[in-house]
Amino acid sequence: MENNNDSFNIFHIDGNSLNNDLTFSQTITKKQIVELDNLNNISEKHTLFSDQVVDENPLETKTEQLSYDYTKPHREILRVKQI
Amino acid sequence: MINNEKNNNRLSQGDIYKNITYIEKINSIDDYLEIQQIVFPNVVVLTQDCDIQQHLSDVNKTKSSQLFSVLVAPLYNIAHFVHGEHLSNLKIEGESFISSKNKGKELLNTGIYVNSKGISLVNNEIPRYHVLDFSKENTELPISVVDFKHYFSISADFLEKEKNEDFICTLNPLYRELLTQRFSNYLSRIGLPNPQ
Repeated sequence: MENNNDSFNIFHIDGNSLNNDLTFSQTITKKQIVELDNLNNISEKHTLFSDQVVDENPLETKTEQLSYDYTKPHREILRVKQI
Repeated sequence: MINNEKNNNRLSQGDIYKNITYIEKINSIDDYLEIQQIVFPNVVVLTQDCDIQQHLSDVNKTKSSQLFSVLVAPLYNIAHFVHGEHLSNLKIEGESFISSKNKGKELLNTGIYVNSKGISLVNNEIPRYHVLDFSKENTELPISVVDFKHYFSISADFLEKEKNEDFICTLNPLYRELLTQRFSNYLSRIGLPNPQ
């Protein structure tokens, strides 16, 4: 998918919901998009900016603190499984 | 300036909603749909109220007065806007209207000092923008700038039926008429090419 924007929202990763302190067991790259079961299950939204992308080590656990201004427009990418 | 209740309990011109989504593109990849969208914190409805009223009165949706969509435009927080940072999440840089304290004028008791173009902005003398000063109103909205260039369309039925909880307030008639008159003037401008 073509996407020149580096920031996008992540709703779930590996089946775990995300809170303000991100902890994930795999690297999130710029183009990684997380699967949604359906749009009605969205409860928390966060945006990971390109300068917060972690390094390439896929086995390292990272904790990232997100700061995001929701009073400004933001872009989201949703990936929804077709039934 | 505003009413915190809907006019006649329906969607109207001048209504302000929060968290409105504009879908940029949809791709189908394998078994998935990828939807790229922008979420705007606040938008104002620009479509003529008589058109909205006719659309909503046709319950069976069988007449050509049906609207496929209404036009809305985003509201940007003026504190972000004058710094050119209102679209920073989208990696878009806006024009700065900022001046130093001794060279500029204070913007509407905000403590922010702007240049002469910033004063023109607040006086609604720049055709592309319209400032709505909510500072004395009973609302959560900040002093906002409407950017007429960024208008987009959204389903009228979706706003009417699905976004009731995101309704914030509606502009009173004179204020919404000024806004929409300036919007129509902006759309109908004629841009001449630069002389070669």
